[in-house]
Amino acid sequence: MRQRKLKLDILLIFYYAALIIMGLGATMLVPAVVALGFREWNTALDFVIAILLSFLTGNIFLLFVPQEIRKLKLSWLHGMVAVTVAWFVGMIIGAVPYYLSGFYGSFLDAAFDVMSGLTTTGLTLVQDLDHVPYGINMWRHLLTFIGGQGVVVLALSFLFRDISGAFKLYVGEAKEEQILPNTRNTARVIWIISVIYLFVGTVVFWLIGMVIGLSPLRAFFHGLWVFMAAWSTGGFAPQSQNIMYYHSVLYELACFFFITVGSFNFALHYNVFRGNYREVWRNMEIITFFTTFSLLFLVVACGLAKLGVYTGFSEVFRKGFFHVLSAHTGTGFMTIYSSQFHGWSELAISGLLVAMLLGGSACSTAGGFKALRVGIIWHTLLREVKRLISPESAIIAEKFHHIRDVLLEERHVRGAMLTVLLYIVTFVITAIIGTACGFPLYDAAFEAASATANVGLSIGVTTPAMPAVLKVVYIFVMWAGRLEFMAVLAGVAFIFEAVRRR
Amino acid sequence: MRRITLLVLVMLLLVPHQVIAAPVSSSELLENSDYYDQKMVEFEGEVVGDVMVRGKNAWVPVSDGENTLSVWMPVAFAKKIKYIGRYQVRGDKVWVKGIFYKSCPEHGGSLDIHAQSFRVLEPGYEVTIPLDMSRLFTVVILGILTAALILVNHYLGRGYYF
Amino acid sequence: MAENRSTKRLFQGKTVFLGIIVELGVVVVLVFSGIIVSWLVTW
Repeated sequence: MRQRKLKLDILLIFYYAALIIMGLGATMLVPAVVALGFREWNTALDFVIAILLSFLTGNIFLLFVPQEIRKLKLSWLHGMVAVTVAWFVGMIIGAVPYYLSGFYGSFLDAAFDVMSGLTTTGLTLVQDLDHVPYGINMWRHLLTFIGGQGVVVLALSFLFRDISGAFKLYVGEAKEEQILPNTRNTARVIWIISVIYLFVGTVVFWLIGMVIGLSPLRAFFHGLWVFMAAWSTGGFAPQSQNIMYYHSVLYELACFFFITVGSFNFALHYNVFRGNYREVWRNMEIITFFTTFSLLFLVVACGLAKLGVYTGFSEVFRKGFFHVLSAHTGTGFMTIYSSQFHGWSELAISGLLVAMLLGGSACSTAGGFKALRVGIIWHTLLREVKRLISPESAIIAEKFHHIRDVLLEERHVRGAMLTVLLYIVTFVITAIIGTACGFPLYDAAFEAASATANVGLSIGVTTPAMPAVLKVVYIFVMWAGRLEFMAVLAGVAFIFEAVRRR
Repeated sequence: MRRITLLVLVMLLLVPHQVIAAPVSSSELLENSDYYDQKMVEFEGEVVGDVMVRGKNAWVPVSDGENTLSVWMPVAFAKKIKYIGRYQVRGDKVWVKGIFYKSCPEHGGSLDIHAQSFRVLEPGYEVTIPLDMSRLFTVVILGILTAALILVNHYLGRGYYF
Repeated sequence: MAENRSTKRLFQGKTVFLGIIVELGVVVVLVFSGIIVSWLVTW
């Protein structure tokens, strides 16, 4: 009986995973069409191969799942395991066009880039990026864009007819905020907001691109791609020099705007777009982000200016501010070469490292601890201090404002502290593995923070020549960090459950 | 602080730049950027991406295969460029001689080279990559397999229609 | 929040436009504070 129940669970997991995989495969039509438009025949064929593979895999999964099982309810645990399976298979299939394009040293490198895109990290192992076809660049940035909103969110909004297990899948991707009572509508709201910004952002970057000397067609695609990477706080760019390629203050200012709003909570966007403008100034996440950002920028600016790395105002602003914002929002855009970070003072690097770990808002495209959790921990500290200075019998109630006034409860504190602790532990372990692979602690820690918090700034560790072990570790860490460790815990729980049943 | 910067700038203008002969690689420039900072260097590579004209000057990204460096040059130089390296295009191989800046004060602290002389060494060319028959074959085989499986699923009542 | 409207009518052009302006305002304040800090440390 128990054995049979386990079998049903596994079939159900494969059913949902199959749908998500086919959904992801269908999105490859976009880069395929772009490749055709630019007469990149072989690239287009690579995408067709990958699309067919995704549908083949999906249908093999479906073959084993009878209709009556499909109507069964999905539990929280199995929702998360389904997301895990979908991400893993999706990574393999998404890497096929990369690998076939010949711009990656190995299949592992290609898989690394897919994971980096889907988790909106932005570390990359692509080689000779300046000669990459349009189709491949479209796929790199589209992956980031989809990853930012969530693969599940995409599948939910367009594909699923029956959505009995929808919310559980949705939560599996670390988006616990239910903006509307209906999960499918919540998923749609996320996409509507993203598409509104996609339109605004692409037009803005397109116009700026033409002003700074790109041809209209090139400016359009660069604009689209840079916007996708900025909004998703991804950090990919179509050229190997990343944002420095453009040498433009205007482009950088537009990046400031879109990476910052990209790191905002979707619930906040929703409220602001509905006319609740005051929420922006009252929201705890915005206040927390503003505070930590200002403090860290002060640290980095002092580290740059006082120790003589950059001495002029424009250099401190355009290099210092840019990278702190890029780190704090979890984007990973760069306007310097990786190796130049070695010229930065250690004070500036430590400021950047903390900024990377803190990250943007919860239920956004950003990674890291998230401002919501930092704010909750801050309020907990306040509460404890208040408790110490008031009489023992007093009841201390601490409130914070996030969309509405919320009373600080133990479950908030526990959740926030546990996740932050897991981030720190993962970061430390990743840094240690980096040093074990022969990198200096300084570099290993920087890159570990970047991978764990899905940032994408690189000090030069992430190159095609790095040890394969480290590539695998980074893939795992990016994925675990993006799904906020829920998926990892669910996977462990599922294996445990399965073993116990035997 | 201002005065010192001004003094340094004046001194830099007066003292002739130390010339480093023979082209250096981009990795060499990046790794020893302190040494090469504000010195005359020679750099060779392929023009890639876009030539971005800004008034009388233009930004030209030049790649030597290891890294891409931005070269700031007069439009008159940039006009000599015929092929820009992209997919299926090999860009002109060019030689530039100019001042290397680790963090250029004129361009917001970016690392760049301000070209003073410029030459196209080898013209670029278009690379036509023929349609790969093995890929086409794979598509056909996979297509047949997928279609067959979808049909099987359909008849078994296990298909999924969006 | 809880009303059961279709997502098509969720947003109106005017509030979305103003919403983007308000969010732009946040970033402008952020950038402005960055400019002040940069200016202070290099002064």
